[in-house]
Amino acid sequence: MSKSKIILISILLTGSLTTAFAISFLSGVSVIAQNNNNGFSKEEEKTTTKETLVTGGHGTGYNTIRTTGDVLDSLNADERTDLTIDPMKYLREFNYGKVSTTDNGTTLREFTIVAQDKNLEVSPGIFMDAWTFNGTIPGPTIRATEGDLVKIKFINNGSKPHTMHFHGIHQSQMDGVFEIIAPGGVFNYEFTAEPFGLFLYHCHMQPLEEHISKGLYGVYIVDPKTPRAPADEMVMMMNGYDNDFDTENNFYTVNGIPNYYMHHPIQIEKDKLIRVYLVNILEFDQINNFHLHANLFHLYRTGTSLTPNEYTDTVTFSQGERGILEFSYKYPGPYMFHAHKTEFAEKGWTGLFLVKEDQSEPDVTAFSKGENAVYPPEIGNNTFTTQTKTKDSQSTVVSYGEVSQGGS
Amino acid sequence: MESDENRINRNKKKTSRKKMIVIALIPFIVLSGMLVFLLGPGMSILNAGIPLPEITIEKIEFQNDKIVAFIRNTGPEGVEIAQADVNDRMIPAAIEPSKTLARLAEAKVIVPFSWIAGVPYEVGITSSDGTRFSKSVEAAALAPTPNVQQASYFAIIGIYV
Repeated sequence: MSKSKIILISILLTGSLTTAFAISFLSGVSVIAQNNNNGFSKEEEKTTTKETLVTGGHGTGYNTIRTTGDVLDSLNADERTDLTIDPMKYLREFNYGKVSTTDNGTTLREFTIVAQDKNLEVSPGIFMDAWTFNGTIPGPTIRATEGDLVKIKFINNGSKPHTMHFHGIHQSQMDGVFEIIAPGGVFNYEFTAEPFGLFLYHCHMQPLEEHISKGLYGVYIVDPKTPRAPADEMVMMMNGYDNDFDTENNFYTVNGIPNYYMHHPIQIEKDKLIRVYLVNILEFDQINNFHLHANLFHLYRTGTSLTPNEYTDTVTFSQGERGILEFSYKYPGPYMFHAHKTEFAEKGWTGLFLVKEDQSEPDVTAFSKGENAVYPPEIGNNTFTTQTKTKDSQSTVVSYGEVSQGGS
Repeated sequence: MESDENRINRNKKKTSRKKMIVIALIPFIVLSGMLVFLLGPGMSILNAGIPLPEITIEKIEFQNDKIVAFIRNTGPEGVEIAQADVNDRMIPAAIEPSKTLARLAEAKVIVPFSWIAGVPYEVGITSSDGTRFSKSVEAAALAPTPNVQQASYFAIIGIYV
């Protein structure tokens, strides 16, 4: 054999060996990746009948993916196992107390508030050791009329000393600052509801940041003697949760659960007057705010006047500030409301109003998962929520408001 | 009269008995010393504290309209993953095979995301107790995927080498 032939054969051999090695190496990587990454071999994957479709956040441009695993999505679904915090119930729940009349004809309203430690699911899958008034966050909304006598029996069943500090006009010893209620202790707060307006109550024990951020707060409303115009009234308490104790909030919410009203929109009627009692208790951050989409509202700062201060679509509050918002929607459809501090919005402080033409429209209490999902007609069958689809269905690329079909 | 030899033997016996007692006492002395140390300055050895969760994000891949994070539970106990985020903003994601991770188990977190090439990103994973673990990437770049073209490149390189 000539020298040149030997060289040619060795080049060819090296080339084919390298090709074989490269192909086997690359296919090996893909098989390893398959096994390592999702735990399903190719065979197993074929037999999987159900997969879940995951959609990106609201707005345009996000694609969808299918998964054989679990879905982590608090934006589009409420997968909580502990439903103690109930933003829908809290929204329109006003507590007027046990009502009676004193000898001099004054209306007496009696409430019982119990402080207790509780482990609560504050966002889907995330649990926090909270301190609560009556077992949930925020505490109950207390409502009275100007001039009423308010009596609150406060029982501290928590593990730490607590107090109840009410905003409003009252005597020093009823201010919930100097009378510290030890665990197991009871204190009776008593004061006249004055002036009319929107107030709050919270624990005033030190360290204040800890006692407030762990959940000890609630809304206190004093109505004027001549009632405000009839309206669909609701309470919105803006708060946050610092789950990793770094004095920064991990979650921002309105009424206790991040993104809750995105998948449980607040249903309201077109042209009907809506009145929102909006309070900011957010700890750690300097400000918080509220922005209403496709509309403007009349703002009554602190609710202490019957004349609005502003006609606007955004309001910013520091901690403890609050205001009454009045508006009505001219057109039906879903409308967002959220913090216009977008960081807070993207960490849970977002929600939807679903404006219905009239009451005859079907009641939509939640965007549910799966093929039987209920969607309001205005939203249409886009993937506002996670959906369950079979593997053989076509992949779907979805943007807000329209559905287009891509390749399989 | 006792012989010198006997006296020496008796003394030897006495010494060996003393030695035996001293040797027998040594473990008790060491034990009491250890007890004093462990209940005093060495208390921290006994007090192991609360086992904290630990999730390691081992690798982040940028694929077409997707960010994929490979995570492992490197903590002392099993954990449940509750949330994923990109740049500390919560975002829907899929986790395969499961959101429940036993000790040392691994999972793939897939986030539908229109990422921009060359831009830094941070991917975060939050466990059920609210603790967030994150990993940063200085500049996003499309992850190479094995395909025929790549194989042929390797082959060509192989031939020339």
